[in-house]
Amino acid sequence: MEAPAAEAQAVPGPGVMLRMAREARGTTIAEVAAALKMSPRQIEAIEAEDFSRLSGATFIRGFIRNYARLLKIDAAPVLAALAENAALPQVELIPPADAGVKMPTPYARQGRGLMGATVLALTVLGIAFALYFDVIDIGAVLKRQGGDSAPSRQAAEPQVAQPLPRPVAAQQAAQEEQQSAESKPAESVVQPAPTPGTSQLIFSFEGSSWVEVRDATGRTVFSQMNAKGTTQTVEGRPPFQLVVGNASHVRLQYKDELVDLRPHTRVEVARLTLD
Amino acid sequence: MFGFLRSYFSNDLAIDLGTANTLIYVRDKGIVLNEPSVVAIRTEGGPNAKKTIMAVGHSAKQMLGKTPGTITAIRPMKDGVIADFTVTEQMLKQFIKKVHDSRLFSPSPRIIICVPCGSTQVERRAIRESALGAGASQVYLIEEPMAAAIGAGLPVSDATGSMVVDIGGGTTEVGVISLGGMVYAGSVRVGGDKFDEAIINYIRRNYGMLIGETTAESIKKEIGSAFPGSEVKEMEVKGRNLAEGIPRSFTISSNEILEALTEPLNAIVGAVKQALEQTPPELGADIAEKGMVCTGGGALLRDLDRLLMEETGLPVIVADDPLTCVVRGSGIALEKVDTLGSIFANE
Repeated sequence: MEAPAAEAQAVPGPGVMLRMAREARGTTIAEVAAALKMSPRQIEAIEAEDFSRLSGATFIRGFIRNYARLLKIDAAPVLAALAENAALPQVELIPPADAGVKMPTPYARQGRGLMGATVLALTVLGIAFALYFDVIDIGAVLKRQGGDSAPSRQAAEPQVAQPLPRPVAAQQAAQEEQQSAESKPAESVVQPAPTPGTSQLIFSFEGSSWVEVRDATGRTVFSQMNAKGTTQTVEGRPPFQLVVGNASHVRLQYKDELVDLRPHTRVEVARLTLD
Repeated sequence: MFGFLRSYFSNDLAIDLGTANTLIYVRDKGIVLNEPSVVAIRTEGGPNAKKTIMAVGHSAKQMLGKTPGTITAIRPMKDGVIADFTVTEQMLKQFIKKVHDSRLFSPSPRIIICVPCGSTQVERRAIRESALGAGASQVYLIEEPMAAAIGAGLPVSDATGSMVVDIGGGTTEVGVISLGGMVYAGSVRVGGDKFDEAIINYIRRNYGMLIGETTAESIKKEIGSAFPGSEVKEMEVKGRNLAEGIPRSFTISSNEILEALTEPLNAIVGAVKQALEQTPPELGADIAEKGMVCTGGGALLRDLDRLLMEETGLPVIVADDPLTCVVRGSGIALEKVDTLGSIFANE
């Protein structure tokens, strides 16, 4: 106990200087606290030089200056002793941390609506693209819908035995069935021999299918919707460029050999060239 | 993008454009200018006379109240805001010229400038425009209580309430700050100038003597007091006797000055009490623990802190070097201008 006291006397700290001055004047901590509008706890902390219990260097210096003035002693040596003896907590000016998460705003919600519209527009565009470039098998789609455009196309073709009147939409499916049944025997009979320099393609349809054939000159020699159960013979100058819809339900004979359409089929549409 | 180029060609400045004094802080150099906000203008004869700036700062202040007809010494700031736009702009230009080394290219610094928190949008715009007119490339505004609190070393960015009372030349600003923002800001147009005015009026009323502003200011600095109980001081003052029209000298005591200052001091106490009333209770508890901090030239008035202490029952301390707190705080803000966006004021 004696050693620190002797040390303190050799180099008195600010707290010790103030306490000695206060004791010399015969005032109590409570009186000082009342005069400075502070709590006795804060005065004790200053005298004990326990600055962690006070808040910040500015306040500590201010309190000490006020205390010294109350005791009618010069504040300068006390503040000098404070600067020498104690490392005061310095205030750092750090902006409050930011979690960086943005609150949604009405504007952002509008943006989300805009995004939905964009997605919708892109989807529509994608479907249109797919339809235009035959990525989706129109035949299969039409079949599901009842093959409404088939009869009118067949009517224009010369191979069809007898032209049919344009059917009313409601009667389409029934009429088509009837027509295919009627035309079958006729077509199976007609097998004309190929003219020299040309070749024959024979399609047998196990399901309705759209077929397009171009010959060596690039001319479209055959392009139509074919009903289920029919057979078509196409003649022209090879090489042929073929597009066959619903390819898994089509059998193709060329130069007396069955052509396998499967390697050429993508999404039910076969595209191939035959020499 | 061209920040490095800009910093090479020009130093950024923090300016406390005060009613009484203008202080300029330069990044990395500290306070480089502390001069009175006074401009002396000479008018060269004739009806369409050409006006030239004769002096700014200290030399102009010495001319205050002592000028012949051809010279007018003007204080272009009044109540914390610009009273004469052109003169303020010219004064700023002169001060900026003083602190910048002469270079081939004229400087265009980024400037942080303080505005009273009670100033209107028009007044803020005027301050911004005058800084731009004085050659600033970019102007940031900071409210005076915030700058004063930063300069006084208060923990403004912590979640604790700090109260600052900045008694300037034209205004007294009271601010309660927490988490880097102002929770309460109040401003009354009472400051050092009003103290001087009160002293002039008191002496005219009670002594029948007319004194000038400069004399009133020196009386305030020498024997001015805000609270009774300290030793009584006396001072010999010279002025013009109103009845005789002849200059006379008389002696005035600090108690009389205390009486003279009662009215403006009451306005300040009222502003502080109103701030305490409006402060949320959690922050009020922090303030009761730590007390409030006085800055600005008015804080140097003897026993002003004791007056506030007795009136509020809270500890009151005077910041170190209260005259420069605002500009030092602005300087600190200037050095962290890129990270402290939130503390700057909008127009």
